[in-house]
Amino acid sequence: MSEIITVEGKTLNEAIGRATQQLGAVVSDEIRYEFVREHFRGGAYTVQISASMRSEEDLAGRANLRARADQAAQWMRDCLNSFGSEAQVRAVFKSEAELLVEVQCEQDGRLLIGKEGRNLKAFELLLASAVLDGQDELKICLDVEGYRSRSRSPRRDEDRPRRDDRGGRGRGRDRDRGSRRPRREGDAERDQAIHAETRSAVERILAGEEQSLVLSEMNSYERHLAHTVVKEVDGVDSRSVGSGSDRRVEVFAR
Amino acid sequence: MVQLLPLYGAVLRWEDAMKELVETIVKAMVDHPDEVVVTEVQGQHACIIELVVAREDVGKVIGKRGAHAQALRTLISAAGGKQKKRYVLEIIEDR
Repeated sequence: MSEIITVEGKTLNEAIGRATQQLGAVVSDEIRYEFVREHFRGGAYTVQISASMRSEEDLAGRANLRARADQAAQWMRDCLNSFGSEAQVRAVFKSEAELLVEVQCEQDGRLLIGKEGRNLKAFELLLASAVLDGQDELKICLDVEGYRSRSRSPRRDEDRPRRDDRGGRGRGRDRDRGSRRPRREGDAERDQAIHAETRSAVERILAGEEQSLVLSEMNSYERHLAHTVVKEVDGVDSRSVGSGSDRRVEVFAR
Repeated sequence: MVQLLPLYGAVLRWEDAMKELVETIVKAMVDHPDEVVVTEVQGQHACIIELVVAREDVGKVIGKRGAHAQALRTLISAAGGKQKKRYVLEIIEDR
């Protein structure tokens, strides 16, 4: 079992870089990391990750995935070459099970997409049959000029939550915010985390370490929980600061 | 007059580009790429692209419920649209 370390950084990349260095790896690909938490300390953002070295098998698997990505990108380039289109092709893994092949084309974008994305779907199907061997769990997604991300095809409609699944959305001024950060009523674990974060901020302020602290990003319900925790303690007060998705709870000494 | 297709410095005939497109797609898909032969037959109203593949590979080229063949025809017709020509794909089993 390889050593697991926990490191912090101002950005995720910085944290990964530190973990790579501490584990003695040459490149960041050699380590596996998991997000632990992000928090504001004295107004400064930090992110914490736990990291360990990847096993030989894992590294071989990643090399295989990279080879697949290169193969997919090359196939697409060859096809576009024959199609008479000059384009930039990039293959990136969105996750270990999903490969995204992105095509940027100045002239023939519309032609490559086709009516209602027919040509794009045809390319995607043939690309999958060329790269995958049928038993693969890998999914290939092809996108031309960001068409997939902005299209409203039936496939994307299926991905959207149904009205019944939306929870508390659709009422009051938090309607839009709710669509980005769903309410978490009933999520006991998250509620406990909010309580713990708020209590820790309150204790630090009462100890005189800080005059005020801004808590992490929360939705309206979570902010309500934080305000309730602060209200129960003498000597501290809270208010919400910022606007839109960046509205946060600030705890300060009274 | 022969139409020419500018392509990364080289110059290809449209028909050659179409053959190359079909070859690229099909060879990556089949188990016997060496046996893939693509020829073109100039018809009166359309150009016929004849695709010959090994007997074992016919199923792969046609795909489930003809999905691969349909996708191939979609792309050929899109590429043909660019040069304002009509192409017809014929899949022929190698004997």
